[in-house]
Amino acid sequence: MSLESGLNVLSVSGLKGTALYTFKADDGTIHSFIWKTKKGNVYIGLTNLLNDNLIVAKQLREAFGEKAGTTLLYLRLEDISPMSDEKLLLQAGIYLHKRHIPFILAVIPVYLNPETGDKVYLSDQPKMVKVLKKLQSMGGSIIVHGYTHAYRYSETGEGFEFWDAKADQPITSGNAEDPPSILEKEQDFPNEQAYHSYLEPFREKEETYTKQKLTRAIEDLTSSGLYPLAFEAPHYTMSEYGYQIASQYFTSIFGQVQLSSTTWKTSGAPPFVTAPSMLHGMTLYPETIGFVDTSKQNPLGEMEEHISQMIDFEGGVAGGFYHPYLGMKYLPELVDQMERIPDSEWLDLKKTKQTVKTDKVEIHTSGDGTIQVKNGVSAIDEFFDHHRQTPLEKALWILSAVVLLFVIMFVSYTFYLRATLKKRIFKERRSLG
Amino acid sequence: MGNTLFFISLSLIWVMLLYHMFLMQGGFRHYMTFERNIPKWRENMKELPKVSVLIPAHNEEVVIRQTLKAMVNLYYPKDRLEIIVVNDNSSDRTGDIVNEFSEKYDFIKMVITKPPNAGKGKSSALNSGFAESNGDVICVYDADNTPEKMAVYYLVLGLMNDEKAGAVVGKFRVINAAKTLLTRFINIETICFQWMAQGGRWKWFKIATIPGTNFAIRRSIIEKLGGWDDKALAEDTELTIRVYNLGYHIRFFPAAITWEQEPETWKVWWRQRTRWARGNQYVVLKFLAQFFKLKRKRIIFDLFYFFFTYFLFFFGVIMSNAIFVVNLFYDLHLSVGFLAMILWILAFFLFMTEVMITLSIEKTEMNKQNFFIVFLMYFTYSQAWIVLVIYSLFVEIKHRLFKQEVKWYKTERYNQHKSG
Repeated sequence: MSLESGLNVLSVSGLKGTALYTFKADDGTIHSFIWKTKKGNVYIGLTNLLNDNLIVAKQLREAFGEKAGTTLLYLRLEDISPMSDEKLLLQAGIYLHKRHIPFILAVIPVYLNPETGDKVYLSDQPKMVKVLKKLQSMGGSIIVHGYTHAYRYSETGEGFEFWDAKADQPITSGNAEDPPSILEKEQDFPNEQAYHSYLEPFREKEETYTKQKLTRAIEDLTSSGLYPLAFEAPHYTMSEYGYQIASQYFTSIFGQVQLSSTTWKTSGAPPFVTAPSMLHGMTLYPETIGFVDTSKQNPLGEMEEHISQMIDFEGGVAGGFYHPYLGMKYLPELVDQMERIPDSEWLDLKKTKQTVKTDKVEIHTSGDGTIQVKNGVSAIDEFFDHHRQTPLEKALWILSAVVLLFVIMFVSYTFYLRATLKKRIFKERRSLG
Repeated sequence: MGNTLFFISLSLIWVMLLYHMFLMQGGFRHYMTFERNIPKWRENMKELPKVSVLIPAHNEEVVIRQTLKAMVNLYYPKDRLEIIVVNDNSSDRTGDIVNEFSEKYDFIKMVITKPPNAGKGKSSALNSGFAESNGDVICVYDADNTPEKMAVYYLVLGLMNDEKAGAVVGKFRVINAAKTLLTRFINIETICFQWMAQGGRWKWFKIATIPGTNFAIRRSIIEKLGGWDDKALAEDTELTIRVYNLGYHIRFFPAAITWEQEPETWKVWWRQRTRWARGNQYVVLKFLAQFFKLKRKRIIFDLFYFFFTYFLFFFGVIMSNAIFVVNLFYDLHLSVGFLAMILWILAFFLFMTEVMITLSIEKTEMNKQNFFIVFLMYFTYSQAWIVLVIYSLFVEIKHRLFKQEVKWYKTERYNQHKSG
């Protein structure tokens, strides 16, 4: 069962097999929408199953006679940025490790201060890097949760990064300070072709922007000794084109999927590990049970409800996330709750096959729990890319190096002159005398 | 906005610092090589040219005796040497003292400036003296100078062995360095100026600034140029550019050494330096305005140097200071704060090491005391320059607006009791 291929169907005829479910339209006609044929199981989308996917999925599974499998569990420690509290993170990680739970670390490599625009890089926070490395060796798998988790200046972890939420449209400019160019709607164009050629320059900008962010995120993490194995879009928002670009870098994605290319407000995910066609080959590890929400009276309430649904569902994925800044108050209870699910096992991402790559870096897992890293970033690149410097800053570094060289030369001249002082005085006396 | 301004000022400052760094490298190389030619050149000097030494003097009774004593001691055949003291409107005993000497030595004579040329300043005094001279080589010394024995000989040596050299410039040292803190500063400053600016520019561009004193120039050139520009307050800079523009080199030959007095009080220093600053500003504006008429475009390095010193670099420093102060009270979010700090430290190191090299060249100057004075200098004497440029710009603007006549404040002299 998967959403690997989709077709828009207007009418169906000549389908042989047994109609398992039918749908009675307002005019009284009866349409079959789920069949079992000799070749396989077919669902024809006359209704939006995604509105209640758990129930539908369960019904579909039963209808197709598939067996309920083991439930895959995962827990992400979410929104870890260079400014996060590394002590609380370490505490949470160690706790999970002690309970033999492999976990996911959703890391944002740069913290962006919304008021000043100042950036704090992971390499500025050696303590945080140390903790992340430790957790990486203790069952944690790192995933890229954006580069700054922000587009227009908003705080890291709060803002959207791959979707212009203010204009509710894809990213149209690499410079977040530009006012958004509001995209015109498809209906304003005479035909689809005209609309697409209108979108083309915007798509190019989106592509440049997205590629840059993903490349930097992967390379920054790698240079700190942190090896990301998958991607999670900030706020689960990204255009379909964005997913296509991401698929060139990652083989897996966590969370949910933005279902529309015109608004971020619909998102969803099937309750199984799937590879929907709109993700262009990326495997989706769905988030199905939500997170500990301290704005609610009972922060764990919704999660518990979802977990119960997963128990009822039998199988699929029970994936959720936890913010380490909450400390240890809810974590043990959350883990207890998740482990209530019978016939379940924890996802260890390192034991899956993943490839994460940029032009210079390739991170690969073959499923045996080890990570192979090829890093083609040279020491010079790394120095100049340290902190993602602007050309001005690079020029100033070169200037500093040149000046330092001359200072050293000048010091050596002084020492030379000092060493030859007696000789020079003697020579002078001789020439005057 | 803050970032852009900061970047502009940073660029202006560093263009200047890098240029000086480059000059220092040249100056050091010049020091290492300038003596090599001397033995060969001496052999070439079969016939010595006739030399006229011009000494403009205006109320110089305190120093002129010592100067003339040094002239008498010069290593140069006296039948090929004439010393012309231009007594310019002196109201003290200068004339009497010069007469004492001219009676005793027939190669020393005195020229008295006459109205309308009297009391017009150094340029017109030099023109008066030049009119009375007959040497093929003209040397100029200020009235407070005591040239070393070999000074004139070396100047002539350099000139005669380098056809392309229109003028040869020697080195001057400070005779009263130990007097006050100010003269210690000036001593270090002049040593730096000569090895960095003079030596460096000669090495790289075959040009040096003709100073007010201790230089030799071909008679033919002065004739061709029609003498000194009597409107120029910095007659030396002005002459430099015109000589260079004729197609000649100006050789810096530090073997020719003279010792001169420097201001011992801040008040005198201030007057002297405002005259220089205004004079150089005049030169920059004069020649930049006619830049396209200049034949040798390489002089642009020098003009730009002055333009940078008195306008752009100065502007950069002011702006950078302003940004620093504003940033103390209001965060401008400068993106390169950390780098700027590194650059500031490097600039300081560069200053220290450059000064240390030049002091080391001068054998006795590289000592602990001077090390601390250099350190102190960076934060005091060097900064006084900012105030000086502001003031002189202000004076120059006022002068232009009200069309005031050029007035020459002569630098005050001191009675030296030199020991040893």
